[in-house]
Amino acid sequence: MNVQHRLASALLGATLLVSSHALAREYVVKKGLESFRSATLEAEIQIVPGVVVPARSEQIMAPFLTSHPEIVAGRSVLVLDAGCGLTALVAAKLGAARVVASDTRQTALDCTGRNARKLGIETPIETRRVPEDAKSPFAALEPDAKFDVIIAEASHALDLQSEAAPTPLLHGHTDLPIVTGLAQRLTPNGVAILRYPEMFHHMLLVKYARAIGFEVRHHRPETISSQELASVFNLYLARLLEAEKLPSDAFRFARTDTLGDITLANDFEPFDAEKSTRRYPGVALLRPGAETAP
Amino acid sequence: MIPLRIVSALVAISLLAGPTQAEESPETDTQLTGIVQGDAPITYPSKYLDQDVTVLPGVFFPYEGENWVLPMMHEYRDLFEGKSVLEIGTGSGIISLYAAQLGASKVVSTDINPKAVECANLNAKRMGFDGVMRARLVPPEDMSAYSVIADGETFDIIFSNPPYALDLDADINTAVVDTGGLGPSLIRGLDQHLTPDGSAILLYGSLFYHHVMVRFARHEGYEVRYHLPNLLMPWEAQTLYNFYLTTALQREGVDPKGFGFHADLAIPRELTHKAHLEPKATDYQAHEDEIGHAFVKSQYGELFEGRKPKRPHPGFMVVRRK
Repeated sequence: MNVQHRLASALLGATLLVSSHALAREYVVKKGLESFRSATLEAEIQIVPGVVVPARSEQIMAPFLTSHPEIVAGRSVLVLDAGCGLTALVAAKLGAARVVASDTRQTALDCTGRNARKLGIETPIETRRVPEDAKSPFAALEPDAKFDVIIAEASHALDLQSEAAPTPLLHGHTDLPIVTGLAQRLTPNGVAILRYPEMFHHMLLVKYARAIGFEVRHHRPETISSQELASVFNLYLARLLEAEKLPSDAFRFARTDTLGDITLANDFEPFDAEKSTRRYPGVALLRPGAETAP
Repeated sequence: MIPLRIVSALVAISLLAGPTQAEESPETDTQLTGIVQGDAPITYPSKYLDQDVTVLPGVFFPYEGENWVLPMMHEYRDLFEGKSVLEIGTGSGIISLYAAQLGASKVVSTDINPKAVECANLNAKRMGFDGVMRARLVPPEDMSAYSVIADGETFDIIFSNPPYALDLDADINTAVVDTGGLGPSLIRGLDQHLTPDGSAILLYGSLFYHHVMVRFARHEGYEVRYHLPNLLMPWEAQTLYNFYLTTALQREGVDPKGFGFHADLAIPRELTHKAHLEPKATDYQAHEDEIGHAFVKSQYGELFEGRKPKRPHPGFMVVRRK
């Protein structure tokens, strides 16, 4: 296949992508309880103020788990940054033997607990609060606790300049410590399921996981968001301004700037043996490799 | 020589240029993009110029000029009649030649490549524009935008289709890389070199540098109208991606050198760095790790006041005094 043909097919693919996929918008509930209809759970769950509406968990992670029930059925599952608990509840519904949901905010854990009771799912959801100042995202667990499945999903764009006050949708956590800790927290045949929908952040974690010995299979995000692009642009812009001897605040990319929606032309390898063509943009499966240091 | 991957990336860019371009036969593809190889000049039949353009070996093929820039100039062709024009980074000279054909009274073209200067002057002479148009060589010791323009020398139109890629870590400007000085120097010099009613017409075809130039020109007090580029080019993505990854890893105390990533689609370092450097630890990796072709959706307003564009001109900006 020559370059032209490959590019032409990539272009065609991109055209199809543009028309087929749009990520649902995520936002933080401001005040009052908000109801969220989950088709996967066949139920309404409730979101409390300060917690993110799990639109993308429902759109991407829940279908992924539902299509691969063998990953969680009968196994122990840890969900980090569980938020309102949607993903933990889906894992429980699919027959996980044990589900632990952790979060730094008690309100989120209360929200998870409330939704679990409301749904009456048999497997209890154990909640663990991670101290705000903890160095490790696994700080709330017993020192030797291990899981067959560890799930982490990001709602935030990574802000490497810490330019804004941290919010659930924008802060400076790279989440590399999650990947680092997996070696110690996964059972030998365990798997981590990450969902990082921001392109640069997703690739950072994939590269890092591979560098420390994990086997990674992943579907790249299909877009670069304006949020992430502003972060990436501002980081490089700071160097350019300095080189030009301009004040560091001469001009910047505001998160509200119209930077253009960027659509990426991607190839997708199916995650499963049945060669399902379904796409799970942003999802990565990490399995400890032979050389993953504990 | 320009490696095939650069050529193929250029083909990719030209594929994105829009529906107006002609189909090319496969066997001549590598001759249509990149720098002309070998010993023999190539004759290029432009759709816009009355005569063929000669492209000397060592000069960039005018594919982008023909497919991106000349259609834009054609749409606004009335603007060139009787005007003085400066073109920064002329290559084969195709843009300057078209400005002369459109009736510019004076055209000054510059380039950092002696072969390009020779080529542009050769074409001007062959086409009978040598009374109007003259190319000047920019010396390596000062590659800023107006280094060969005299103090007080002014132009009605300042045109530039500069290198695609911005890389603050590169040592030297080339046909494909700007180390960060060319764009800002171009804007800073407008005050001295643009006539009061003049326009700078710039094609910054990659997204980040385009946005930066728009903001920098506004910061300097100019009015700017623009059409966003229609893609984040692979080389620019590489530059941003490497710095972002390096910063994130260092923040976590991880040495990026341990990663063993290597450059692949990246512009070869021998073209952009004086000293041959080992690839950076986090260098952009092709295949699944590359950002690849990133398409930008946007809307296209007026580039000149009161003139609704007939087609998008992605990457162009028009800078004027307020």
